[in-house]
Amino acid sequence: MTVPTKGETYFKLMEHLRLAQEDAAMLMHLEQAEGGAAGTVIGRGWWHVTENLKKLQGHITVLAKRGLQ
Amino acid sequence: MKKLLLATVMAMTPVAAMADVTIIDKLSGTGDNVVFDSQVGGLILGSFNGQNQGVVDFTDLSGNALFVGAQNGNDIKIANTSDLQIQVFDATNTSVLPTATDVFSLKGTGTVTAFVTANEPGGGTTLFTFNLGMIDPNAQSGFTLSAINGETINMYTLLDVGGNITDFEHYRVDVATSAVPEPSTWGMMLLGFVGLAFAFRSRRKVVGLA
Repeated sequence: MTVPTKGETYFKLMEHLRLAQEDAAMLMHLEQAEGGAAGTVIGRGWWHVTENLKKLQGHITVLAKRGLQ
Repeated sequence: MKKLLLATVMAMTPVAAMADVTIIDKLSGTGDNVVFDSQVGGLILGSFNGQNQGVVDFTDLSGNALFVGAQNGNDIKIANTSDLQIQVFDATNTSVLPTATDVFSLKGTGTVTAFVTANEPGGGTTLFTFNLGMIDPNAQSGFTLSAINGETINMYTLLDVGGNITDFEHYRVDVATSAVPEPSTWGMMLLGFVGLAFAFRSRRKVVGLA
C-alpha cells in the first residue's frame, strides 16, 4: 500500500469538493425548476451550499500553497 | 437454466427508444435569435423575434453578471457569471415556453456543467447533466442543446466550477410545438361544431318540407 503524496491528497480532495459542489448545484437546479415559493427558497439555500464549497476549494488551495512551499 | 434463458431473451429483446436530450459542441440548428435587453440586479432579460415572440430570463445566481451593452444583434453578451439559469417565457412573461433547441456559445475559464430539466411527453420531468469541459478564455465554444424523442426543455443551469463564464452569446432558441391545443384552436373547433349542427338542422327542415 502506497502513501499518497501531499500533492495527490490535495488533488483528490479538490476533486471530491468539485463533485460535491456539482451535486449541490444539481439540487439547486431541481428546486428552482420545481418552481413556487418553497422551490425558490430551497434552491437559494442549495446555491449557498454550492458557493461555500467553492470558497472552501479556494481556502484549501491557499493553505496547500503555504504548506507546499 | 430457466434464469439463463430469461436473461438471454431479455438481452435479445429490443429496448424501446429512450427519451433523450442531447448536446453537441457546435452552433447548430435553427431558431429565433435572442437579443439581450436589460439587467435588473441578477436578472437579465432577453427577447426573441422571428416565428415566435417571447422573453428569456437569465438569472445570475452568483450576482456578478454584467450585461454588456448593445452593439449589433446577438453580439450583445452576458459576462462574469458562474451560475447562469435560463428559462424561456411567453411574450407576457407569465407562462414557461418549452424549447426544443437552445444554441449558445461560451468563453471563459474553468469547467462548465449544464443541468437540463426536460418535460417528458407522457408527463413528468427528467434531469440531464452534461459536462461541457474546460472552456477557452480566448475563443468561443459553441453548444447546441436538443430535445429529441418528444420531450421539451424546461429550464437549464450552467455551472462554472473553478472559473467564470466571461462571455455568453450567440443565443438562439427554437420553441417546441405544443401538443395541447391553444385556446384559439379550441375556439375554431367549437365554431366548426356549431356550423355542423346548423347545417344538419337546415337539412332536416328541407327533408320535412319535401
